Amino acid sequence: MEVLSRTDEILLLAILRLGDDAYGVSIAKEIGRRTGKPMKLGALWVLLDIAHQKGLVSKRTGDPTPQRGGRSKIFYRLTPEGYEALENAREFSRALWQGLPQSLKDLS
Amino acid sequence: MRKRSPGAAPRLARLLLDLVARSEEKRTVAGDMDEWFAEIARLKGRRRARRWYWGQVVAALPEFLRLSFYWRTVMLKNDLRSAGRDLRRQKMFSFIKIGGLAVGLACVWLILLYVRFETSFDRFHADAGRIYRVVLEDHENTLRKSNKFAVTCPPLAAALEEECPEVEAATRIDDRADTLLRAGESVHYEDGIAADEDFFRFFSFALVRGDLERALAEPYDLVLSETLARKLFGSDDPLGRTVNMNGTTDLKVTGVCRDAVENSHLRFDFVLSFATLPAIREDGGNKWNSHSFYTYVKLRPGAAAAAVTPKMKAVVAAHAGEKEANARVPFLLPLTDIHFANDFNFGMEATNDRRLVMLFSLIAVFILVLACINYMNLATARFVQRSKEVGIRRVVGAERGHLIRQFLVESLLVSGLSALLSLGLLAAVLPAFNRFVGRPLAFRPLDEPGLFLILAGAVVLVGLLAGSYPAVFLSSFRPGRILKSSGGPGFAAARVRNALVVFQFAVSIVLILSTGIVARQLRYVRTKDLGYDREQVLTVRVRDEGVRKNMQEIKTALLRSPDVAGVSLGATPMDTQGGSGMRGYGDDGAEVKFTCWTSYIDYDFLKLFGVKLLQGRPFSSEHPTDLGGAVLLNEAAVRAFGWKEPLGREVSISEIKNAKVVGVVGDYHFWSLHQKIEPMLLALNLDSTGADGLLRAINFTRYRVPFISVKIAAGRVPAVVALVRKTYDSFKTLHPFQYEFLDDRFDRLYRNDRKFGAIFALFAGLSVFVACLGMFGLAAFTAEQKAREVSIRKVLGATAASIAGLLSRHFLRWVVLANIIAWPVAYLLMRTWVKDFYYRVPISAGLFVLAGAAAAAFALMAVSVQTAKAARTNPAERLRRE
Repeated sequence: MEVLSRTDEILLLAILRLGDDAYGVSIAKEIGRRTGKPMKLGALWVLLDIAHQKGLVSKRTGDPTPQRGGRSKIFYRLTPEGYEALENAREFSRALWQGLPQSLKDLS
Repeated sequence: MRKRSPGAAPRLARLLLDLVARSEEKRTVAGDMDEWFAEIARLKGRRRARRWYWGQVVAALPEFLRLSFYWRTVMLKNDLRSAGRDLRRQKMFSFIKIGGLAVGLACVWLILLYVRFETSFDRFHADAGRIYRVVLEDHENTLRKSNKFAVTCPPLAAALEEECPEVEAATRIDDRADTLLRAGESVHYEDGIAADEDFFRFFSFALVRGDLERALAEPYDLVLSETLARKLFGSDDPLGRTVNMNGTTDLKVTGVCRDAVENSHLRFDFVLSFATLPAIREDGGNKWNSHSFYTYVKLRPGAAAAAVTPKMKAVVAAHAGEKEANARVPFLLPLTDIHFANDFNFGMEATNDRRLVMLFSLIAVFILVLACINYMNLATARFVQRSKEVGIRRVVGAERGHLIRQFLVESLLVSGLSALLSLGLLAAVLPAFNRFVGRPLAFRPLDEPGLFLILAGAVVLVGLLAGSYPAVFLSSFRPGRILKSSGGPGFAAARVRNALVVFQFAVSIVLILSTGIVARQLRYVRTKDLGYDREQVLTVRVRDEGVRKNMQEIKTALLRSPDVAGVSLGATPMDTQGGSGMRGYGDDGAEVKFTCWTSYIDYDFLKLFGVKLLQGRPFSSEHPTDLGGAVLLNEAAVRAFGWKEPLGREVSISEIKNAKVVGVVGDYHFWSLHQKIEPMLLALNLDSTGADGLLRAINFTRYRVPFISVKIAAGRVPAVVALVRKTYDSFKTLHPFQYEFLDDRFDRLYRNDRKFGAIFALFAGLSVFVACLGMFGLAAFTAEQKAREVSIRKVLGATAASIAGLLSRHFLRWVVLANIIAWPVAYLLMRTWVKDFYYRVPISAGLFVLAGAAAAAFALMAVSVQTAKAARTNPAERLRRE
């Protein structure tokens, strides 16, 4: 099976952490907070769209609010496939790191 | 700035985002950005927020653009597929649409190339915008309906160059057409010019060999075109070689120039130095009152032609006197207008009529419009079939914009296919068209990005135009209505459709009528009694000295053959030998002066050409005084004098003083039927009589080249041509034998008119074809729409004939209306053309009715196929389906 890319992994983890409040701005902020690298909203949207096409996330349209220029939020949730993909990613990482010392300095 | 609410994002950035983002993105991404923007603005200030917003938008643009482009292609592919399906399903209508448009587009390409060529004349000169020809408006003379003359006097050029500060340079040209050039054994008649020494610097004709500064500096210098150099010297180096001109003058080749391009009003095979002229023509001097040269000036950059005109007049007044300057006023004709300046006398170039070029462009555009109309008509008429599709599409959620786009894609596909087909058509007809109009038109759009863009633009424009109406019309219906009814909503479109059909037929009728009027006039020209007999007459221009001296011997030799019915030496009825001032006294004793045309003939002229003698007697060798002492006048000359009794009167022209009028001949057309018959005088040709005494007294100019005219007995043409050639060759010293038949020369006078007629016929045929295609298509739909009505009528006992009537009546009504619109247009259009002929047939009402009937017949023909089919169908089959 296909392993999640790092970017997708970051994205899905952010959505997972946000729970019911995962939409464009909150996801972007969450990613920024975790990685220290702010994500542009346009790029984020493209990633979300692809993840949606792959069936990793589901969409729900919220109500439009005046602060947003009358445009509604779209909330994202992980689908069962999304959960599974994250699980696999974790397994994969673990397998990759297994048996290596905590600090790599000891090896060099 | 202040008025904006604090939370507002930068407008421009927002606009950009809206432009590229599709609807879902707009709702979410733009919303996200706004929300975040407001937060940043609150915490860190507007300035930071704005910069942030811009950063966000710019980063988002490339990806969004790529996505939107991707979806657009997906949609386009889908639209193209459904358009292609529809075209394949409806093969006949696709053919009508594509074929019609292709014909229209091919017409447009053809005319585009033609017009482009015609308007490109003389523009290749580096200073084309600053070069003018000096021409004259003569207030004392009018020739062939115009008092404008293309020729000017010899000293004018130098005087203008020196005395007009605006004139940077001036140069002169003399026409040296039909000159015999010989180099060794190689002898050719060639058309050339004599030109001032700065000719190759003044104009942009390329000198490929020789010295640009010196090539035309000395007398007897000669520059040859590359083609002529090859003809005369083969692959040898022509520079420094000797060429003999007209058997008299030896010239030295000092240069070789590139062949003159086709879109130049100046066409020449050789250029002779102007300094040679005094040696070869008597009037090559420096007189201010002799006009036979072409003068060109180049103005300084920024100088206005209007400012120069009065100064030119002042220059003429200073040298030639006030009187001359007022009689013949010089003015400037732009170089690039010369090709269209067709009302000048003595122009050496073949001109074109600007109105004609414009008319042809207009016709081409009309044919294209007709084809577009067909497309629109068929597309809207097919609404009934397409409506279900449209309805379903709307029900499943297609927006109006989608439908419009879908129809536009469809019509663009059709226009694109038509464009391809039209290029094929163009390639097929271009060689024939070129031969016909005598132009070297070539279609190479890939070599010319400009032309290619025009082409592509036209195709897109046609596609959009043709598709816009059906697209807007078809998409405007509500799905519920469409799906419920089975053909009702066609009504609103019917009126537009009918108007379009009327327009199509009106255009066709105008063209049919014009063709008819041209054809009738040309038949009139062919059949009109010209006052002389032009059949079976061979003419030989005599320029050769040896032949000229022995014309009597040649005549005697020819007459010995039984195949020769007669020989006349001197003018033919188609050659007058120049006009001169005629003087005489009217019945009231007052002196009468007018311009009279002169022909020098021999004793056999009247008999050989069948010219009628109305009064008096012909010239006769029994009256020795006829030689130089007697003349014949035509009726127009007698009318000009106002004489009741012309015989025995005395008249004088410059060469013949106080000659007696011994006879009056019937007016005959010595020019084409475009011109009125002018007064003419016939006198004995001294050369032809063999008398020597007065021969030297009369100064023969180049107009006075005599002809040998031979009347050939029926069926003996080849034998006589061979005989004349043999006899000619036995006397000739230099000039090769050349001959023409008189009726061919006559036909040549109307060559342009025949071309005009044929082009009209071509376009008329095409427009009728396109209009009939449209009619055919529409009839098919009417039949389809009325199928139920027809079936019920048939069940109730209607005959096939009455059904056919029912279906055709509708169309005939529009054809009648089209006639009413077309008639006055055609009348006004053709009146101007027919006016070019002084002798013409009136435009008759019968022709109009005929053209109308023809259009109706074409329409009926197009409709009848469909109506016949409808009338024959078994009603049960149709009704069962309902």
